[in-house]
Amino acid sequence: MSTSTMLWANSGDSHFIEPADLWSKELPKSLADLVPRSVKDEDGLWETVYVDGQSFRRRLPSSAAIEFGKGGSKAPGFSDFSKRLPDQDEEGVWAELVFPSLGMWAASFKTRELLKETARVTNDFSASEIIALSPRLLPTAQVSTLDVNDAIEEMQRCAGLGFKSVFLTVSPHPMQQDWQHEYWEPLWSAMEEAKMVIAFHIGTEPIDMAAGEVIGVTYRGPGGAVMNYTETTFSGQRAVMKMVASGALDRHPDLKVMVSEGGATWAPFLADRMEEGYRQHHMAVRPKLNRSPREIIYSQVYASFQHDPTAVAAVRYMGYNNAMWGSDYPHMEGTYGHTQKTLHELFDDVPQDVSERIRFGAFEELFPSAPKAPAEIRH
Amino acid sequence: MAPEDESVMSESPQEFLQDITPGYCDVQSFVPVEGGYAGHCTCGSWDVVMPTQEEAHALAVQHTMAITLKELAKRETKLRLPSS
Repeated sequence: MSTSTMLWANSGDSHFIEPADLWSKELPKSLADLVPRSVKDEDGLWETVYVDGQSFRRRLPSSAAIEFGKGGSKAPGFSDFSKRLPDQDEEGVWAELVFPSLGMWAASFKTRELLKETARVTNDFSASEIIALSPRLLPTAQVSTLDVNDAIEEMQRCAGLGFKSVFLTVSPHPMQQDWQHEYWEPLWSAMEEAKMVIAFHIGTEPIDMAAGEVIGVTYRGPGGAVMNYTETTFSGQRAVMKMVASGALDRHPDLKVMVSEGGATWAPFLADRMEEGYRQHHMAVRPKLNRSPREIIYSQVYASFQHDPTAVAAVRYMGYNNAMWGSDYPHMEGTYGHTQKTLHELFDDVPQDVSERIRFGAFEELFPSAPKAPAEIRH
Repeated sequence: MAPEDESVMSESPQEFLQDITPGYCDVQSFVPVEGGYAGHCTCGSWDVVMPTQEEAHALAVQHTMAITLKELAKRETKLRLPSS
């Protein structure tokens, strides 16, 4: 496809996978023995995962589920970083915020040192393999969400390594207080000072795998697949609600929040709901905010979407200017293989200023150090 | 047991657990407790405490044996079906 017909965009939501043996190779043996490893039963029907002294045996997914999962790894640049930029050039993606994969397991660790050290190893890998590869790639840093001092220490180290954002799960570690509590206030102060963006990614609710029977919301039967997927989107909205209502973002007006993959039209909706609650229940509202929930959300919260046409309408008609496009490369929910079709469907009939704001402007505002797309591809 | 597999590392715990529904024997957990390891099944009707993780695991294999045998029988039937 020639560049004259290509629509380019920055991506507020992309992924890479670290080498599977990264943690076991880089950590001292006492910690390496605790990282997740999987052993299959001889019958091939069951698998046991060992992680940090606990283990979990599951029935292996059906062949259909396995095929679905493989779809997410077909993109060459997912794990082979030499093929990353060629993939993005082919698709029409300029700069991208890139989330690691192994860190999703961190919330199932109980050992404080393991959380701290796996984050360090992952961040060193991201710095040497991704930041060093191209300024177009902006990996998110990992931090422990079990201990605020560990989180601050690693966040500050990562700021020095060139990271611009920190990936936070939509809720912290199961053994820790939620984001709205004062416990996290030192982290918000430190991140604001370091100009590090909070990068929430939907579907990252920490799962306490030792909790037994209570494990997330899962539907079966009619509509189950759509309901399970849709459920994952609400967690990002809840994280923002907590950060706004608790006053965390009000106290730190230069602290910015990104919510990746969860659509963007929810932001005006959430602002409406919070405005009404703040106004109508004012007698019970604590803390009082210096700015309204809408003002805080519209100025400090950014959100990425892949396919949602109403996200464009949020910018065009609802005044929410912080919607940005994201590819979700290389996941099944993303646009890999049909990025150009998606971008043209979304933006061909949209005014140029709105199109550029969503494809480039919001991202560049959030990450001002990222290289700007050349003028010839911004049309 | 078969050799270690790397597949789990590319999945998040959410993906790992996405097929779980309380009431079904989808996952058994083995967690250290005082006196050994507590085994629990998502069916909600199987809980044990055993001195070692291996012993709790072995009991879980017994607990789910009916499912395993049913799945193996299905596999056998598929293999015997003439190819079209």
